[in-house]
Amino acid sequence: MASFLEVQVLIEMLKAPQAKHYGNALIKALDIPSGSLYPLLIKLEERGYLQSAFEDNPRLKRGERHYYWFTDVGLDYALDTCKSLCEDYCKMLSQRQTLVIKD
Amino acid sequence: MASWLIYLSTLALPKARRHLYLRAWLAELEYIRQENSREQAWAFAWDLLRESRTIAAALKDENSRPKKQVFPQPWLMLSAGLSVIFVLLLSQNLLKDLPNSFGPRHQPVEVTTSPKISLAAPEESLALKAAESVSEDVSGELVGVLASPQAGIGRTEGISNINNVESVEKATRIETALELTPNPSPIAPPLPQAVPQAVPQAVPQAVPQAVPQVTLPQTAPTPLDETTLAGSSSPSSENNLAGSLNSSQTLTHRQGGLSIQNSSSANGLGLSKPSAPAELAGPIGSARSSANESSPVPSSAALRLAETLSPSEQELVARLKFYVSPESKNLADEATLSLDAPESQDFLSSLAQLLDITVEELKRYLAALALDSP
Repeated sequence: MASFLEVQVLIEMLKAPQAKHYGNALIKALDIPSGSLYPLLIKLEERGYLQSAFEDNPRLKRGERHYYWFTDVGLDYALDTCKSLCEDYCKMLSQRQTLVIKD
Repeated sequence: MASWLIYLSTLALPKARRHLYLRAWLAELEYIRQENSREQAWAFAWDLLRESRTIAAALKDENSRPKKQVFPQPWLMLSAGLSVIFVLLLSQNLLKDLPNSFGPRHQPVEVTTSPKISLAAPEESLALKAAESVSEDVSGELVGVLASPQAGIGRTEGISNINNVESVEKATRIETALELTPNPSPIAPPLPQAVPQAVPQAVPQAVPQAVPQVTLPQTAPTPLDETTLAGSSSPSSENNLAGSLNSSQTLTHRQGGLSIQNSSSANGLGLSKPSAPAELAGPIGSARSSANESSPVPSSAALRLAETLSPSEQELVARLKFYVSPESKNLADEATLSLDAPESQDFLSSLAQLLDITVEELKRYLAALALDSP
């Protein structure tokens, strides 16, 4: 069962599934501390859902960023997780609407 | 200063990943500084330092994951299997090449009554032992004659003739009547140890009791049983190894009852016809000794005793010799016919009277001696 933070990261990355994502962008988008994001990215990478590499641009005078992107397995995993979460969310919404109607 | 915090946070990571994440986080910190404020850079570095243990735990989980099981190389497994098969085949071949002493010990042995008997070495040795135990007995000479190669039949055939005790006792009676030698006769073949043991027990007790008696003893040993006699010539002669062992057991019983048979026959026969049995023992004993010693020339004692025989007794002895001779055994059918011939009835009756048995029993016994084939 994916945690709430994990689902947030997967959804954010699914917005651009073929793109490469870096930590600061995810931190900004989700407004989560870096100490919570990087352990999650490491776990997803160890499971094989993500791949990571440093950007290869010799023209850059700054430091090379560390990018993360989905693997095929990771993409399926992210889709299945979001789908199940949406189904649960829909069920929860429908139940709540029935309760509201009754009231 | 924020870079120092990131550096401190990477100290908790494994060494293999420490440089990687230090490089990534420092680059990210630089971007945050340029794009965002310093406060966010401090917050980024502080969060990493605060969660450094969590990050380290995530990386340790990776290191603590079970590694892939390393299977041996296929060629190694194949060579091991081939070596096991080779060892099994080699052990089987070695077991086949082992001597017979490691093989099955109870092998069925087919003993037939045909004169040409081919026995394996173990069975032949057993038969020889049985024959030797018989020949060691005082009154076992008849069986010794049967077991001798000159008798025309094999050793095992002689053993098969004495499978039951009563037939052996009957043989002992006839043999003792033929010999009636209270002491070991010089004509008889040298007997190793059984002679001093058996003869002093039998004869000294028999002779003093027999002196007051004048007539033939009426209380002879139990008459021959037809079944036992039939058993002596029955197909039981075809025995296996167990049969030969049984014969050795009967021989043991036979030795036990030997002294009684000797004494009873010695009582009656020795007094009624004191000279005839002793004289009978001469030629017969010499014939047997010659058969055992494989020398056709009779001994001087045998010739001397043969001279003392009356003509009728000599005829009797000659006929009896014929019946127990190899010629008669080789011509078994003729011997049977001669037993039934009219001219043999007088001889048989006299011999039966001498042995204190009926003529029919004597016939059956002689037939069993001559014909040991079903």
